[in-house]
Amino acid sequence: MADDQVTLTIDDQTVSVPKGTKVVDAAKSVGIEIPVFCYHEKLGPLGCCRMCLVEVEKMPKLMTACTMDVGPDMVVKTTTPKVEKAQKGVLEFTLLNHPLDCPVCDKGGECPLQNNTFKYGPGDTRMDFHRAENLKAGPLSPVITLDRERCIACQRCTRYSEVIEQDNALVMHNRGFNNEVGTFNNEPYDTRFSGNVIDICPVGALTNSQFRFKARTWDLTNSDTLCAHCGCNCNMTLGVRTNKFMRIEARPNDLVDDGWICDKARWGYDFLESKNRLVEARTVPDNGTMVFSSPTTQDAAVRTAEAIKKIVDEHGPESVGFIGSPYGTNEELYLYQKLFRLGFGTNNIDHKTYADSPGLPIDHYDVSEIETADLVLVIASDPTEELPILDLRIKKVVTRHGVKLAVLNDQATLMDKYAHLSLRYNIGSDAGVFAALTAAISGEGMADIKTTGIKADQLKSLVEMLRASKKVTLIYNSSALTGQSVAVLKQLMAMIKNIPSIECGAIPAVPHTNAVGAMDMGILPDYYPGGVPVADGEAIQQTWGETAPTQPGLSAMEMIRKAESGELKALLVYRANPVVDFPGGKQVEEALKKLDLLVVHDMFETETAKLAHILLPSNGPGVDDGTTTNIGGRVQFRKGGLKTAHPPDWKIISLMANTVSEEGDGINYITSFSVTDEIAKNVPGYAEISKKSIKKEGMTRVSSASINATGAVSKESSPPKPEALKLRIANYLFAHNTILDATSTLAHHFKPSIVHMHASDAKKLKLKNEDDVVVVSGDTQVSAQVEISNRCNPGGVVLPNISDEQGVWGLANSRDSVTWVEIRKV
Amino acid sequence: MIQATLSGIKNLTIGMFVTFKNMMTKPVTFQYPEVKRTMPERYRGRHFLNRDENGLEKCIGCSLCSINCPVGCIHVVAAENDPENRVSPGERYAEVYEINLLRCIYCGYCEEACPVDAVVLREHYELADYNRDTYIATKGDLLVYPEPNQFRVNILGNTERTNSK
Ligand code: SF4
Ligand code: SF4
Ligand code: SF4
Ligand code: SF4
Ligand code: FES
Repeated sequence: MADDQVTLTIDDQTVSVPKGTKVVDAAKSVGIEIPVFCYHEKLGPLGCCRMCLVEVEKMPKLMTACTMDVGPDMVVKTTTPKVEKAQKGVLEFTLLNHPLDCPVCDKGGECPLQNNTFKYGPGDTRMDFHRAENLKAGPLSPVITLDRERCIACQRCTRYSEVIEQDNALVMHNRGFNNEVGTFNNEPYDTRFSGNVIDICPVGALTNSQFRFKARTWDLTNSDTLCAHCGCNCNMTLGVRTNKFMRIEARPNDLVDDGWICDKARWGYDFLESKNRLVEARTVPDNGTMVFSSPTTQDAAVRTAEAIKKIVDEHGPESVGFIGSPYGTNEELYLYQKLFRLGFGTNNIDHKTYADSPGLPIDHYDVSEIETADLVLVIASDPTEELPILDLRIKKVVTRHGVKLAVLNDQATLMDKYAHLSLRYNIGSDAGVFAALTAAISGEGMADIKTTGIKADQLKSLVEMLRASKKVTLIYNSSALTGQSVAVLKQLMAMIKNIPSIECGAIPAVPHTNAVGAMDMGILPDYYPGGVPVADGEAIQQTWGETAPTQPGLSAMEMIRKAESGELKALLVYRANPVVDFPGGKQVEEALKKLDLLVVHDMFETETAKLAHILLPSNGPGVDDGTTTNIGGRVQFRKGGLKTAHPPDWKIISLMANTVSEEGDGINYITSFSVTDEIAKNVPGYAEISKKSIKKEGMTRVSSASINATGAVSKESSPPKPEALKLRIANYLFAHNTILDATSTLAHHFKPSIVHMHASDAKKLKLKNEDDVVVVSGDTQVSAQVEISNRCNPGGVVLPNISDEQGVWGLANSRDSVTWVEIRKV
Repeated sequence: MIQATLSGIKNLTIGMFVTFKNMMTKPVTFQYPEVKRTMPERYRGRHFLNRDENGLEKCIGCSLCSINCPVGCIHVVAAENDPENRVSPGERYAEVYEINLLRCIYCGYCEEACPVDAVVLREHYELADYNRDTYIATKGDLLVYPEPNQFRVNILGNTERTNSK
């Protein structure tokens, strides 16, 4: 047996566990339950509640199993009369001042205090006095209710705040009998991850205000599903009663979310029952071909397919296009690309406005690989706002596993606080930095990096850090890069891989839920599913048949431009909102208005949906089944929970496909998994994915190898006016948009529009903190308030995207180069 | 032969004696529906929801009756009390409380489970009707207790709501 294994006996069973395991966990591994309150495997031992007392041979007193490491040949007994007496005593003591609230308590039915009392507690109480009275049901934050009478002072919540969130927002006040959970100055406890304390509180002291009294826990129908808000794809449980949404809880999966979910998951699902939802198909009878008004979705889908087909027949396949969404499931996206490629013969398919291509020159790391790395390099990504659970994991490994963190970004993020090295390049000079770093690693010496804002010695220390590490995990957000610099970044990756002593992998951290899946499913004008380039005619024809188009199609931005010039006649927009989210704003709207046929297939009445000739409702997450691929390439099943008579998207799309199909009835899929099976057959890298293989923890798909990316460092564009500044649009987790609308439970997180600038620029422009300004680019203006925060280097501004209304993307002209803006005082 | 006759008469007289004796006593049967039986106090008939001495609903909407019901015929949806305008004394009350009297087996487990003695099965046993829908007893139907004169039993034995909200 290896040295790091320890063998001991628990209740006559021999257990062998790794060294350092606590006795509770060792017992759990063989199915022996030792009751606990304060111990939580993610928080580590504390030993304050004494619930876990056990007898250990040769030790005179009872020991707390949660704080005791296993030792060789230890003999532990958990059911002796001495232990039972102690358990009864501890529970009687714990219950002394606990109100008998079970019938009205939201924790009832899933409460460890209830369960432990039932299993190990005394049948009765000897308490004859008045129980202590304390705060009942007060708000700890707008979304969490605190009941101090129920609190048993186990400190799980405060330690969560300290150990996991690491901001000590929730603390224990006072001592002894006056011990109470609270925040500084009674500020609301509203962090990004506050909701997890509800799950870990072993009593009903911290409860979900949204779920308060809505249902008893045993009345819920829980579906094991995934969060649909960001690329982490955290596992969660969706609780439904009488087909109404009730609550969200975390569903620990260490490979994905490490047991936590963020508050956007827990309270960001009001959209399921939003007033803004599309419930009925609609058509606008204005272009001659459409003369019906309120059809069923199936009718509208058939007409859509016929109308697009007609345009293809008249104007050729280049005249139609598809803009998909990185929020769709793999099945939906796969079927759409198949419809457009095989049904309409076009490659005008895209889902994004930034440059990126499938495949990596290095390994695609799963999220859990961060834990075994010794250097994490975060590039242009802001996990805190974009992929919150990734932020927790990075914090964990940096502070507790001794992993080094280096940050390379154009804006300050909360990661900087934990970083061992944090480099800030000028907005728009990302490609230059990557190229310089590549050169430095390859030993070509220092490139000229004066214009990038990074000093030579900083770059050198980053290179040294890289060289000193054995395993590097790169986390990069290609949607925050400018122009073609993602290609330069991939060259950098290839270069790092060439250092023989380094094992290196990357996590493409684009924030959108299924951004990786969208790339894999070939929602790209120049790649078929699985990263097969259109140029590879042979491979394509083998899988997709003779008729599959092999000309590169138009990218999303090109489609918008061609729509403007009238060359593109018909566009189908699936769960995307180009009018708000694409660079150009008004221009995009004008372009879409010129189309002969605009079909919008979406969950909400978006700004784009308002322009549509045909509107198809989509059920979306929470209702439809499907798989998504997270940033670590892990494919998991996102189950629906609510039922509806409206057909799921995959049915709508396959109906369209069957309408235009020349071979009889086409394919009839039975469930979403029938599509998954087809994906496994046709998409390289997904061969192993099936209902069974992804059941428990999901399964990582095989990443496609990168096609040698070529991208040169383009020359920096020069300012149109001397006082112009470079714009960086940042993300904000709780942005006010169609998903989190005005009635959202998270509305207290909405922020005003703020433009962050460097002190030296503010001085030049004579601006002070809190000055009201407009950010101007072309004829688009966005109003904002100045905050002098040095969030970026001089010469640029950071403008977080805080709402749809704010319209920040209207400022950007395209993603080819950096956008210049002027700041004008109003 | 004579002996047989005598013994016949004797037996007849004994028999008739029982008959005549019972003609004089009060009958054990009832002329139902003209006459109605007073049920024993702990008879488990139709459900009612109690109010407390202040007239507030006793039910706190805990759903324990519902989970204990072996046939699952109770549906409870709870809500939070508005302290200004209370429905029940505690934090929580039942916004919706429905019992499907057709599915109910009158076992009384709900009464047993209730932590606040809100739901009770009383002595009302006349539950026939022509319409199935009337068997979904809602809060309004159930809250007519404790003033017995607030409800009346119709010809078919159904309690009619008289204090409907
Ligand atoms: S609120 Fe809950 S988790 Fe926090 S100390 Fe009290 S009982 Fe423990
Ligand atoms: S981190 Fe992302 S996937 Fe996870 S719970 Fe939050 S929004 Fe959902
Ligand atoms: S009497 Fe029995 S069957 Fe009827 S509602 Fe109560 S628990 Fe259910
Ligand atoms: S009747 Fe009693 S058991 Fe049923 S919900 Fe009301 S309080 Fe709970
Ligand atoms: S669980 Fe061991 S002391 Fe609390």
